[in-house]
Amino acid sequence: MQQVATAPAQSAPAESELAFDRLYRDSRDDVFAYVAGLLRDRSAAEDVTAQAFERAYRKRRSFDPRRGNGRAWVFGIARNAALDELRRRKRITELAADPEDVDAAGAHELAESAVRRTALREAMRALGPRDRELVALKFFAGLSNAEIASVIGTSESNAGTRLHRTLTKLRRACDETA
Amino acid sequence: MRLRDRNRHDDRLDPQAERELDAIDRALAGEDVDPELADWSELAELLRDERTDPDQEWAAELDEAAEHRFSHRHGEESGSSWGQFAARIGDVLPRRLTPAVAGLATFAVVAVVAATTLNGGDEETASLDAQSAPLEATTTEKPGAAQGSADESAAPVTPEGGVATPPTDIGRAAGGFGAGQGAISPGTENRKVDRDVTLALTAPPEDVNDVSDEAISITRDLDGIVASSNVTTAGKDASATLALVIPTRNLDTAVDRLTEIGDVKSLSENSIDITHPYVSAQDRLEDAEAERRELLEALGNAGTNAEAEALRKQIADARREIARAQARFDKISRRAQLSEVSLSIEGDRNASSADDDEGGRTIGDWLDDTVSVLRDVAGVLLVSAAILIPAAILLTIAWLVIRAVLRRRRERALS
Repeated sequence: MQQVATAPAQSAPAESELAFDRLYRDSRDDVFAYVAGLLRDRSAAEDVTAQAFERAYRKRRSFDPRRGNGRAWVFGIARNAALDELRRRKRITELAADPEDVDAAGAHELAESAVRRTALREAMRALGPRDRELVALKFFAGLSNAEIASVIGTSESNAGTRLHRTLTKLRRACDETA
Repeated sequence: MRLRDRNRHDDRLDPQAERELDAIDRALAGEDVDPELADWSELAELLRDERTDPDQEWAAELDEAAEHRFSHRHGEESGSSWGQFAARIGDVLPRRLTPAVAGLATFAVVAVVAATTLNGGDEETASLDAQSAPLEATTTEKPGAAQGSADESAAPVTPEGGVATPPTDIGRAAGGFGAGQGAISPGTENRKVDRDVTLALTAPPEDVNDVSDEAISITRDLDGIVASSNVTTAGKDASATLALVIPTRNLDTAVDRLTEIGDVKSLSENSIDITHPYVSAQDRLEDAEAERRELLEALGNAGTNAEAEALRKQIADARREIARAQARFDKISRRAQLSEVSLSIEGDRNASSADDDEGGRTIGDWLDDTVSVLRDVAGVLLVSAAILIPAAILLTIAWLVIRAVLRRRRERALS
């Protein structure tokens, strides 16, 4: 996960291209992780991520650094694309998760930790899309609270408050299950 | 949006929550966390482990697409030719400049339309000016002339001698000056209209005589006659009064030319529809001639001298009646064919001299033109603004509404 804030738009077109390249490299995996966490569908996440970067490339000259950093900007585009996809599908498809390599991890993983992980997944499934989006932005995409606030269009403290509520829910759910 | 509103109340983060979030951030950054908050740290690590990484093959494909600037995907998403066009425009035109360019283009279109409209109006005005003069121009109808219902009493006819051939070119006299001003109903070329014009000009006192000569020359050029003229060239009180008679078909040309030889002080036109008295006079003349022919025929068939004598007296009466009818017809026919122009020329030191036009333009003329151009430009801008500002307001409102609706619909996907 990268925390580099880059501005894709510069005065010269060549600089704009370079800035976009940097932004793409820095945020590709994070954007995918966020979209996958939101859509819970790997295939759809791939499409939406590609679409988001393409849109970002087309709109690279409209980026205004005064309104947020490049990552927040590209995540905003990805979010719109993901929400459009959600609307289009009218349903949230379960992420076709890759089979867990239990053996590989399990040899060294404590039983308690495995239980907590399972409990956490259950709790994640029970989360609403808004809460799941916050988790995806924070833990999958690695955005700061300020960036999350910029992406979802609220204040930083508000984003923090909402994130804290969501995490409290998850923690409580994990504790109850454990 | 509702969620956002609801959450606006908690703009201040709870200190404990802030501490716990800080612990999460530290855990994610790999830093040490207060043991009291170890649960939060563990939760953060567990959640981070849930992250789904992209498939390497897909990532390689996307890298390649990005390297080629999504050229193969561009058309796919744009779909329509308009989408492709917009995308190309977007590539060429910096996004921030798009509203400005669109605004300028819209302004240009509106300005052209406005200018065209204003020019159209100016042409109409110019046409009216040419016909009715820019200063105190008035067009009045004589009483009783409305709707072509003028009766014979409104057009007194004095019996006069002489024989005239009834004109066959009935329509010709109805055209000319004033035909387009509403005095005469359109599409009535067979109507007969009696017109006269009163024109007052001013000219520098020393030019009054020349202007008068010019007016006479114009009248003769247009097959008219000067019925009377009175020119006084007594210093600053120089003046001239001319009574001109001009064929109605040349009246508009005459007025155009006369208004150019001096400054127009006033111009008025009187018009009266004399179709009815004209047709009546024509009918009377034809009736009188028919009666005379019948009497002559009867005279040829008279059997006795007394009968012949009586018929001769009736024929003499008929001949007098024909003469009266002919006189009436000639008079009204002249009224239709000839127009009177009462021209007065007053000496005025402030009036522009004819030399001004002949000797070149003065700074005043240039200033006048400048003011005129600026006025037109201001008019165009005003009309453009009158169209653009409400349109911009409406478009902005529409854009805000559409944006809010789209945002709401997107957010609803998370509900």
